[in-house]
Amino acid sequence: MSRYGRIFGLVLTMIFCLSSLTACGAAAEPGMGATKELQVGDKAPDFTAKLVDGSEFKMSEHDDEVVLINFFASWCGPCMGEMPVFDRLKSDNISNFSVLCINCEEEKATVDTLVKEKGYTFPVAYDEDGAIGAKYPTDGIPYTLVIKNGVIEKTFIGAGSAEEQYKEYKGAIDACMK
Amino acid sequence: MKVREHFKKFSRRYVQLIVAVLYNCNIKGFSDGTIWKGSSKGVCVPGLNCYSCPGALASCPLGSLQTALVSSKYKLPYYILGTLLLMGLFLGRFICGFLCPFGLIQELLHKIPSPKLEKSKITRGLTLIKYALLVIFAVMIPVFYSAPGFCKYICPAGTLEAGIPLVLLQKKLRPLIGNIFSWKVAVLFVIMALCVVAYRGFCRFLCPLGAIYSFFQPVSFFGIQVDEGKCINCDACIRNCKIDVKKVCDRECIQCGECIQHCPADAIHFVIRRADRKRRFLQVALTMLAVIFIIAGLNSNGFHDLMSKAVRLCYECMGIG
Repeated sequence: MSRYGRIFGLVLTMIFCLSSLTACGAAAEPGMGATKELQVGDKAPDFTAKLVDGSEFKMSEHDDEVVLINFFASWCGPCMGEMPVFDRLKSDNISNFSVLCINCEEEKATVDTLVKEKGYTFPVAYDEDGAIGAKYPTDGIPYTLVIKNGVIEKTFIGAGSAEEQYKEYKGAIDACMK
Repeated sequence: MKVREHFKKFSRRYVQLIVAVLYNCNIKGFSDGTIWKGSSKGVCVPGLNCYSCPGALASCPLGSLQTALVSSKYKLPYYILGTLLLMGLFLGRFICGFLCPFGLIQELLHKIPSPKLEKSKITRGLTLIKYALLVIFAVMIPVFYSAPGFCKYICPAGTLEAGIPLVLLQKKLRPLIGNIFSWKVAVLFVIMALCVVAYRGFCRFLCPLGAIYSFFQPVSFFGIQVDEGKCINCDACIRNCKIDVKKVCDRECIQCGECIQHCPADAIHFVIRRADRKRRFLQVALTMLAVIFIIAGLNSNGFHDLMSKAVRLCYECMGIG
């Protein structure tokens, strides 16, 4: 390797060393790395979310019912694949039950376009700064929690087909209703 | 002197090793099966390195491109396009030769004793597969079918660096394993076997990222170059090259520098390339385009978008979603 090559390699290596050290020193995303995932039996953290339809969803106001919370994003294939399930659950008109899908850190405009294009009828919340996600830390999405009286009853990671997910979620909701 | 000779001979291997470690130095991730969630994930490394790997500190450019294309109907992926453009423009396929951890893995696999596949017209023809994979799996499937096609169905780096380790380390992921995961593990083993018999088999025939960088070979600022004044046209460089090159620094050249050692006229060097007028115009235009794309991307939250994707496990990319 020529002198140029060696110098270039050295500079490049130094850049990578420095950037890696910077990266290692950088603060992790709030609540994402340091906090453990919520477990069944844990109290569901309270949050207030702004919804696409302009209203608000306050978790503590749903302490007396069963709530299904789903974290999703437009770039996540499995998330988009299971979205019809939430429309179906909404149209089932289950009493004492709420569903809420929380978008993970995408811009309002993106979420608005997505909801309009897909015609979702269930409540969709923004979480542009990841503040709600930080209270419900997870390694990946889709991430779904079924909560009864403010306590986490069941969690789901990933997603199969819409039909499979409907059965899974409906089963968990029915179990909570008993 | 012996030490110096050793380092001179194996300098590329040391750079590859250092780069592989630096890309993946989140040691904690390997011990507890979690992924790095720091802001460095908003930056792409130049080489193929799955960002769902427990050790990965930054993002994979090919994975980032695909996930950005999946949501491109909502937001154009200026930041990723600009980053790819800039990296290709500055380094071309030097990245394949020096800065790709999966390239290192392939070279180590090729050291396993076995019958070896010599380069030929057929292998040269097979190099075109990677362009088809780029168009179909890395662009068309993400755009039209909203899935990161290459990551989901093929990427051996994702299976090796993320899929298998995470499934081993996290019990909760095991129930998610399905046909796609089994398919990806099979693809990984086929590609590993290919790399044992064919030097850098994945790079040469299948890697869409290499295909992207190959477009920049004629205009990259840094790279290997033949000094035409010194060259005696003996073709020692081409004969001794294990890659399907027709000439030094053509689209297939990974700029590993092996030819330097074989050149009897000392006519090949790594250089900051001198460009003629036409090439300089292209370099300036592409640099400006890359900078404009990156600025536009940063202004439209591109850094945060990339980070927010890469700090989450891509179950789909791992073949378990």
